[in-house]
Amino acid sequence: MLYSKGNCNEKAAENQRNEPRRPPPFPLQAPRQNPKMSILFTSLLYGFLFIVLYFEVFLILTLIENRKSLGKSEHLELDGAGNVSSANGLNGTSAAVVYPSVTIIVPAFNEERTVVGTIHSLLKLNYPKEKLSIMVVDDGSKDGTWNTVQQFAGHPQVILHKKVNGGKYTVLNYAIERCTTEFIGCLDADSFVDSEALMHIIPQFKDTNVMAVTPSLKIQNPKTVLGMMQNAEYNLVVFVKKILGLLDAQYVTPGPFSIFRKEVFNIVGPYRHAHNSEDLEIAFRLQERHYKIQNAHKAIVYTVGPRTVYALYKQRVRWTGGFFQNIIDYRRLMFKRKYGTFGMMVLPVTAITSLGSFFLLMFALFSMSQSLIKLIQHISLVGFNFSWPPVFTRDWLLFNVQASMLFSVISIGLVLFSIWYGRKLSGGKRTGVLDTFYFLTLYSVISPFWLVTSVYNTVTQRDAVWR
Amino acid sequence: MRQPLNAYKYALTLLITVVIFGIIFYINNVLDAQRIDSVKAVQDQISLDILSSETQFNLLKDASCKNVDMSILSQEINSIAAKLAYLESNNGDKQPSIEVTNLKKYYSLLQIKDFMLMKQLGDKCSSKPISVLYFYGKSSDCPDCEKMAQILTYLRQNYPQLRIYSFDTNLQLSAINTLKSIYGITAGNIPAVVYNDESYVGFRTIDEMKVIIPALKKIDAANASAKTASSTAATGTKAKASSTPPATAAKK
Repeated sequence: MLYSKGNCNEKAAENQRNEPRRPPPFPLQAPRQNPKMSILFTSLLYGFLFIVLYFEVFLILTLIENRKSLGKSEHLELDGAGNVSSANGLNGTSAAVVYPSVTIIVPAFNEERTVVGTIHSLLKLNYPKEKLSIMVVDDGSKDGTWNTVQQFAGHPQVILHKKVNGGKYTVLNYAIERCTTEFIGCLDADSFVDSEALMHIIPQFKDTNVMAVTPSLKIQNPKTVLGMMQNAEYNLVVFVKKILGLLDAQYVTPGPFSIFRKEVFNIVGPYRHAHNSEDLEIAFRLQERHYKIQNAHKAIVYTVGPRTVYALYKQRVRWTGGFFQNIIDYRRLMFKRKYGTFGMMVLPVTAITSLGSFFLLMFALFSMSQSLIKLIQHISLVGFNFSWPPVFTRDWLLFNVQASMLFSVISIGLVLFSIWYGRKLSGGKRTGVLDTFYFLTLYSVISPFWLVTSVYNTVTQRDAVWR
Repeated sequence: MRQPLNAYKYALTLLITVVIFGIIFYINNVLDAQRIDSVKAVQDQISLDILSSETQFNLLKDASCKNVDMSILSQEINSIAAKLAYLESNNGDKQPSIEVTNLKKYYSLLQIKDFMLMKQLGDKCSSKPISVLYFYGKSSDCPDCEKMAQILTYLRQNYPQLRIYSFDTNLQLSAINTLKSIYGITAGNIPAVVYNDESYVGFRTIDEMKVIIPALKKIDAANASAKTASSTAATGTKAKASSTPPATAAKK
């Protein structure tokens, strides 16, 4: 024993032993200093936050500006058929209403399980039967899709076509060539329409400059965690789409049930491959020509949504990557006053925020890997023996915690409001607290994966695959 | 036609955004001010602690061996060290303030005093305290210092008998400079550990440290034998307990 020699040290030794096992650490090392990196990071982050906040404030201001007209258009649409006539500028009672003719394309590629349901939902649409035709185009399916749709052969409203496989945009162009109606739209075989959807959409075309009208997309019967997460997200999109519609700044006419004036394809040309996001590219092209894209928020379209994380990842890689590549293709529209809010605000802000989140992600990964290296070093030096407070904590907080907390509170508040308002606009059933929770938590975990892949695909000019 | 740009709305949005930013930074500054206040309070506390420790040194110098309680002092020093660490970590990336630097200087002096006192007490009471001096620098000048600090922290936690006095070589303090010159420490040869007036330059692993400080090995051996003793004792009582009622066993 060390202190056992002298009597006088017995007590001291005892006291030493009674000392707590883990005394607070000495300041054995000078604090790490990395001011240049930190200043760069902080200013980038604040700039990024400022742009995001600016955009959010702009959306909310637009909402306040238009809140009366939002209510008014709802009321008009609720009147249903009667208003179609007045919306079209035609006088008279409902007997004299002239409904424009509409074709809905159902592109089907290996969709034998869902295609029948999709067609039935279209047949149930509240619209004069002689004015509504459904064109099913089998894009060279390898499963029983063609046999399954034969049950509709001879149906007065359904036309069946089969072509060699060529991808979605070829199906749309194939149908556009063969259709003679005033309006044309598309409904993917994984989506279903609300029976009043078309009645809400058609009146929006009273303005002759309106070339396309988008609906509100919702997740059908969200039960799983993934479904609920997407449900909240889609409600958020309903809100954003509505506001962008008011600003003439919608940048996508989603595949499911966006309705076009057929003549527009004669003017701007057919669909293009456009990095597998033809629904984005056509919207960009309409914006370039200063045509209007409206939004009918009461027109509800239900979509199934990817059921597995991997399927969701693939879908989002296609969306995000297509978005990046089309933005590059149409960069000439950016910061041009003549393209209005679309050119001055929507394109730059979406591009900057996407790239900004990518860089923030890279930065986060970098600092995480630094901490990991330290952790490994620590374990290799002294084994699993950690002091408290841990040596690592300091570097995690490169930037002021309080300010970031406040920004988080504000942006989460704005997101919550947008989800709530989107649901209010599209008439959702449930409050969806859990949906919002999943959205806020899980989305931030899985979205970095598709963000990274999309950036990689854009840099290497690789087109994402459909499935 | 497309809606023309509404410059007024863009300006209004800018104004609102700037106001929100302003409010956030204002709240942030208020919270920061509170944090600085709490840091100041800690600084005051450290000054008091240092004064109290100095007084204790003077008292202990004349006390007889019997009444010396060495743990009190080391506990005081530890708590000051913890507070200093808090101050430094709260400082973030900024240069340490003059107050913090001064406190660190005070603390270094206190450590030297403690080191000397321990030496005196060791001679007087014929005991041998395990005292280690450790010299470190900025991580940019001394990449190994961080690793060395982890090793020493580990040793400190696992051997409470070990006293480690750490000195920042960047502190412009004449006492530290004297200490450095006594043990031949220069800016080039850190991290450095001094044990038994012998200096060891460069990074050392735990095992190498135990070679430098054989006393640690003795403690290891003592702990190991104590462990086996206690385990045999435990089995012994168990055997007894099974044969006699628990009450009598407890009495014994």
